[in-house]
Amino acid sequence: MKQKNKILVLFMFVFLLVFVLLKTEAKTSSRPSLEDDKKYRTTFSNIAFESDIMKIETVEKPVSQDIKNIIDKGHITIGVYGDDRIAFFQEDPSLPKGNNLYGADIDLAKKIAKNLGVGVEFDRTAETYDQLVDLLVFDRVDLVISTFSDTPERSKYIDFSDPYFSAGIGMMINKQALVSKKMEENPVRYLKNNSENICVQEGSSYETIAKEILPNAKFIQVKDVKDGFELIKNNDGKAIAFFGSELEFVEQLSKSPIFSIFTKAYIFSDMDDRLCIGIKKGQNGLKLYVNECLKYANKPSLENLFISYKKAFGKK
Amino acid sequence: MIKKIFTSPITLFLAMILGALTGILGKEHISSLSLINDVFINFLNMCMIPIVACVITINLSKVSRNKKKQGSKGVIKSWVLYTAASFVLAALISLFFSFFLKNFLTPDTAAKQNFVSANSNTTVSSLFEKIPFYDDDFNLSIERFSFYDFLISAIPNNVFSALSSGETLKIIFFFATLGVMQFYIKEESSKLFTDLLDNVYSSLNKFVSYILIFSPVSIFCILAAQFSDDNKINILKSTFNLIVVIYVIFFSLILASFFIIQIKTKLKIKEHLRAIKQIFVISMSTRSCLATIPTAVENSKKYLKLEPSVVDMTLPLGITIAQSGGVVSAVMATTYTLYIHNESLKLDSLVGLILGACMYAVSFVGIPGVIAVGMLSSVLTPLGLPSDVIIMIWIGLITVIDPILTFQCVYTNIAITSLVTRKKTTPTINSSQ
Repeated sequence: MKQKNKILVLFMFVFLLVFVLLKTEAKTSSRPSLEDDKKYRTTFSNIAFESDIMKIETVEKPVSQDIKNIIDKGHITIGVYGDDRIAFFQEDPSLPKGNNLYGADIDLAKKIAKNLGVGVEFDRTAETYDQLVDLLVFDRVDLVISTFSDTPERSKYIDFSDPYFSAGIGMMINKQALVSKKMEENPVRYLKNNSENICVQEGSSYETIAKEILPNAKFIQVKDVKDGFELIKNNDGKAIAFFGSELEFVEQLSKSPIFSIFTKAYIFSDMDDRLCIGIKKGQNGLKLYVNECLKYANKPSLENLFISYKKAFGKK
Repeated sequence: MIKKIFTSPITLFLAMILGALTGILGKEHISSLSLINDVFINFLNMCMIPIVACVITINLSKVSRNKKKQGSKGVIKSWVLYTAASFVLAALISLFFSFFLKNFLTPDTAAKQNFVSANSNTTVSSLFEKIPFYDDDFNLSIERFSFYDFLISAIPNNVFSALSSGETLKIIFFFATLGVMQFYIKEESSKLFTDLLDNVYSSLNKFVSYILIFSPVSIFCILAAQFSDDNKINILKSTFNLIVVIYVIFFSLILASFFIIQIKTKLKIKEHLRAIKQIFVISMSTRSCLATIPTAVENSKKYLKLEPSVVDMTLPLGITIAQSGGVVSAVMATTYTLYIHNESLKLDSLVGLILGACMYAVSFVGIPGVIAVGMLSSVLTPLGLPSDVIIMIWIGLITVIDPILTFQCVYTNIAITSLVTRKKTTPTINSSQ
């Protein structure tokens, strides 16, 4: 009897040893590669292998529908304003069309596309910033990344990401008008209380803001920012100020430094223009994803932009 | 002999040429040279205000004791009228040249580009002025200069603080008052005081005559520093036409003064030139009207044979407060600003411009060059013109314009003195010379 018990104990010991050894080997053996999961890129997957003891199957983590649509499409479409904005989005004429855009906004778009594992296409059909809103609303584009300001009016129709850049809002004023109308000490106070001609870019967020905060002013709409600057250059009564963004002023003064002889730029210290990525309403998954990408993205700064402008216009 | 060589106009001219060439070719070694000029200017400044104070006090005390008081009043009246006429003449000649040479003066785009790129280290924050939109009580501090401020600031409320901070106008006002009041105290004590001042004046004048030996060195250093700065050279290149016109205007005024003195004194041209040679050298090397006062007074009596009492009364005062070159600066700065903005001077602004320019010429007495240039806004602002660009341009031009402006101011005042003089006298030589 004692010998039978010994054999039984020995057999159970060997069985346990074999069991442990087999389990360890199963963990270190080669797993199916993540390449097989290319279509649905989950962060991790459980390994499945067949054994007499248990079966474990691959689990696919679901993504939000708005992101899935983009992944299924294979590319993300970004809405960008039709005219170039130096340092944000501009064409390199030496490169073939379709792949010749560069700038801070373009880099951001490519980063988001790369993180999603899809290609990127740019839609530059919008001739005004209001048309960029339409592109989103009518599903022509997935995102708008185009020095796009978040405004209450636009928020009615579309959603915005967290801001990735903050620039000032202000006015560029003709110097002779400043002196002759005695408004050097506080031009804002004068313009709030008097009916003067002020230029704004048609369809821009600054047009909306200006009309709201300067009710007494008479507004002259211009299609292009550079037309507005030309109007205020001479003291001929057409317009004495241009209402716009610090970015536009930096670009104009870098492009044409002699402008500072004729005009003076004022930025409002208690107001700012936040550039965000435009997202269609209801696409919360995409919005969250974009915000996460922005946290770790290389965001532009005004000083770096100024250097870029000086280099760009210095070459010309 | 050394003094004669170093104070010769030819040496001065050579020093100017060498200074300019050194500045252009030897940019790396210029920083130490400006120190030499600073030392020279400091020595001069140390002596100038005491010299001017002494001269004004002594001469005004002589005038106040002059028995022919009616004559003195007549002299002062004539002097004021002729001085005002010189201001108006300077303004009209400047307007004439700037009007007929408008195309020559108007800067092109490349020149305007140089004006703004003079500040090549611009940061983005310096491009804008930040102001709150919602705070209506906020005011930017804008420096404004007015003739009223000038009149109020002329009277010192503490002469010792004016002396310690070198406020020339206040010091001159105080000593002028002291000079006039000598008439009302006993002659013995007044004489004691004026003898003391005479001693101070003679000692410092002697010291200045030794310092002036180094004036070619100073002019060499200042021009080397000016021409080593690429930004300043760009400004000078861009405003070359303006500099030429300004020099033409000053030469016109100098020529007018020459003819006036020649007609009044009927001297040989050689003697006339001998009288002004030293004044020319001091003007060009020091760029300070005050530094020329002792020599101008002396040479006017000795070589031009002008009436000593009239010279003592009017010349130091005129050189100090009646600098018609300031009128030329103000008018040319205004017309140049108009041309930068592609505009013309309107007839209704003409009177305002002439008056403003005259007030400017009187207001910058004793004020350092850069601050005096800043006061151009007092002429431009009432005409609705911005002054920031022209001030920046004028600061770049000071070194080139100041020498000829100084000489023109002094020479015109000598011409005015010759007009005011009633008769010729035998020259009186100052014992300290």
